[in-house]
Amino acid sequence: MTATDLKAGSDPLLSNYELGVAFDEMFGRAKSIRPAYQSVAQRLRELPSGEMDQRQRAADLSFLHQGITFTVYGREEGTERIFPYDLMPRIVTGKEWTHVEKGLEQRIRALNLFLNDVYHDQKIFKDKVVPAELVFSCPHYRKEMRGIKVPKGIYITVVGTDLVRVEEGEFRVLEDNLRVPSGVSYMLANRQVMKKVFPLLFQKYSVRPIDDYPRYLLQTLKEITPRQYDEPTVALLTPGVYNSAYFEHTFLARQMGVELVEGRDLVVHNKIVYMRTTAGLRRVDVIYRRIDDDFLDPRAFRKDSMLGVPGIFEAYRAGNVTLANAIGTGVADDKAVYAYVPAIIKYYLGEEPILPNVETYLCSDEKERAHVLANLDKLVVKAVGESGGYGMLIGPHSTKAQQDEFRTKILENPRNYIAQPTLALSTAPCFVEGKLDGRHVDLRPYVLYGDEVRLVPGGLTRVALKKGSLVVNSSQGGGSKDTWILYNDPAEE
Amino acid sequence: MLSRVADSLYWMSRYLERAEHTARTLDVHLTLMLDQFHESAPRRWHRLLATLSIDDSPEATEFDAQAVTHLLTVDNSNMASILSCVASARENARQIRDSISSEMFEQINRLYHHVKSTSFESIKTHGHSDFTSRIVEGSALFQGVTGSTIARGEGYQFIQIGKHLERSLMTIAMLKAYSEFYLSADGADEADSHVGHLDLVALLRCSSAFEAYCRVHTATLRKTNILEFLLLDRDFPHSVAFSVNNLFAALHSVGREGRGLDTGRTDRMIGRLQAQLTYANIEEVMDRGVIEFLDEVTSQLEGIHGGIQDIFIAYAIESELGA
Repeated sequence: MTATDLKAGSDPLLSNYELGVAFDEMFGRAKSIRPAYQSVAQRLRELPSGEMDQRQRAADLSFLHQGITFTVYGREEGTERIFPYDLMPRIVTGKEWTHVEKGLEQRIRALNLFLNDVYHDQKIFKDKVVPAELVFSCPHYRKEMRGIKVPKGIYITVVGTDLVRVEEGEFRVLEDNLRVPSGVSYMLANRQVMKKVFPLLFQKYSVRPIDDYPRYLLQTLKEITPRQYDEPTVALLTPGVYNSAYFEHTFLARQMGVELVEGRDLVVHNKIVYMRTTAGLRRVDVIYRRIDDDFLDPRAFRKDSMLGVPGIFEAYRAGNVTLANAIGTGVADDKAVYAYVPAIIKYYLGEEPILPNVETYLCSDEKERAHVLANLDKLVVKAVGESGGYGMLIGPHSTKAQQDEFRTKILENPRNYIAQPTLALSTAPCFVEGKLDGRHVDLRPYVLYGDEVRLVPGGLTRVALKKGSLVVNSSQGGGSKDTWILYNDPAEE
Repeated sequence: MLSRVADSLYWMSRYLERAEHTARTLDVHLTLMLDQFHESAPRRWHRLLATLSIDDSPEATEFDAQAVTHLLTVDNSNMASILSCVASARENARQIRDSISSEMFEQINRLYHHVKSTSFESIKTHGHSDFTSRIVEGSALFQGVTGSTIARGEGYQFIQIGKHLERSLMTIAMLKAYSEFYLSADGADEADSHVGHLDLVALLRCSSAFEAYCRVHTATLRKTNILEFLLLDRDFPHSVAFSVNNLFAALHSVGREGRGLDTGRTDRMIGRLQAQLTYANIEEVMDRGVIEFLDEVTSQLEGIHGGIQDIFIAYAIESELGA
């Protein structure tokens, strides 16, 4: 059977599906169903009408009861919402994944070497591959980190890289998240709910399991312990219950079996970090911190931080505790430095990048700036230090007034902005108001770096739930899907 | 275990115990009121509030079944309402959800969403008992999954400490509020009037003790027997002595897991209280004065609460690092 034999056919759930210009994950041109999605399509045809609705409700309720929610502020009691979840799985074939996996490993190794260089010898500046002033002007550059040795030279222990698929389905890197990437708990929770709601469909596929993630994370964290000791004490540092990712912190701590600590649980004495337990103070070796650099230590960084631990930076500098990720990794995921990542890969590894970047214009460069200013209505402009979909101008969806606002901002502070072509992110079918409708998606796999680079075969597929929208961030109305990485590629079976 | 986590487990458990007790007590009293002589109603509402250690303001005299039901169920301005207690229990659980099992969190979270989505209108429409029995069941389910999903380590012990401390304090408050019934001046031991009888049954039912009492003492309600049963019985899970025994065991177990830290203080306090309740005899208690005895036990329990805070939760760092 070929891909074109099984068309969307007469089923209203599938046949009314509208294809846009973007690459679609499930349908090829002329609405042929891609081989990997044929069992999904078949299952959808078998389901009685109304069944999808019912299962969606079951899934939503399951998230609510498990408390997988984030809090929306502004109302009296803080309304809790679930992170919208779409029932339709996103499928990535084994072959596609192998390519992604190689590309990510290469990229993470190169970025880690870059960080090592930036905070030690700075050869890459001397060789004029990356301009020094670009790095020094980055708000996340930490001069306090110069010359500090981190265990095994590993700066970026946990990475979440945002990938998009463009044109004919080619994967590209849109963003590296090297500070405190979040969302991995949704990747794991989505899978659990999927198995609960669609067991039969799940069974038809050979989906690679992702449940090992917490175990790999713990192993990776133990590998970067500062002192050789049989059983290093690992803790996860959270800003607390009011943080929007709090669920994830509790989830990971429990799955790893480590203590979830807040700043107030830790004390530093003689440059050693302890946690306050019912049996007295206990030394901590490795801290997986989910607090930004700025808030880590009121003595070293922001003085008004109530979340941090006074003196923890001193303990870190003395090599008595490991922080993961290291401090100052934000220089390598700066959106302007991003433009240099292909060059960084070539410089340190002598290899061509496996996963290409998205074309990027630096507003700090005079020529490129002129191009950006002339094409504000076509490009996506991003502030380099922002994340979460904030500080962005999406040219084709913007008003003249918004473009003028960005023009002024760019001219005031060119270093702070970059621009990229407006990408047609791939679409995937989502279940919206009783029917399937295409929505733009991205993919965030999670990479761990300890004695080796580890990836679980999976990732978080984020969905821009508003039709036509290109912003997938949860803070901007994004949702997510379960992501299936297959062992075998159906086309080859 | 982190001190903060121990503290949250302790409070989670106390709040949930309180919610359950409030639900049961409210249900018993609303049922009791159906058999009331009208003129005694205000006094009974006062007593209900005293049972739950809620200070009744002067306007309490205005209370009727609806106002009291609202106050104790979904009134979020009342810190002691079932809604407030369940919300506090759940908030504590949320802050330590990595330290309890997913099943436990899911149970307490479901209960919270149920209470939060219940309006007073719907309680009025469907009657209070759907609501109160859901709370009692929710608490039972929570105890059940706790019993079957969490290791018997320190965390479990702090949950037990919170539960039994709260339970014994609630039972004592209830015994005090009902003292007029078993401390009658006439000295007659058996409940004579209908009204007195109903009130004593209510007292037992608030602790789910009526059937258990009957098995031991038959349905003959003797005042000294009731007092003895709720205060000193070793086998009944809502008696003060039973709770204190469990408190003793849990505290002992926590202390053992600890360092060479001075748990002597709480050990001494709980040991003394346990001995007192184990070897007390009801006639002596009556002779010495029941109220005085209850007050003394209360202040000992409060001392134990303070001791737990000082030793396990909020100890001075200097004393730890001094060595």
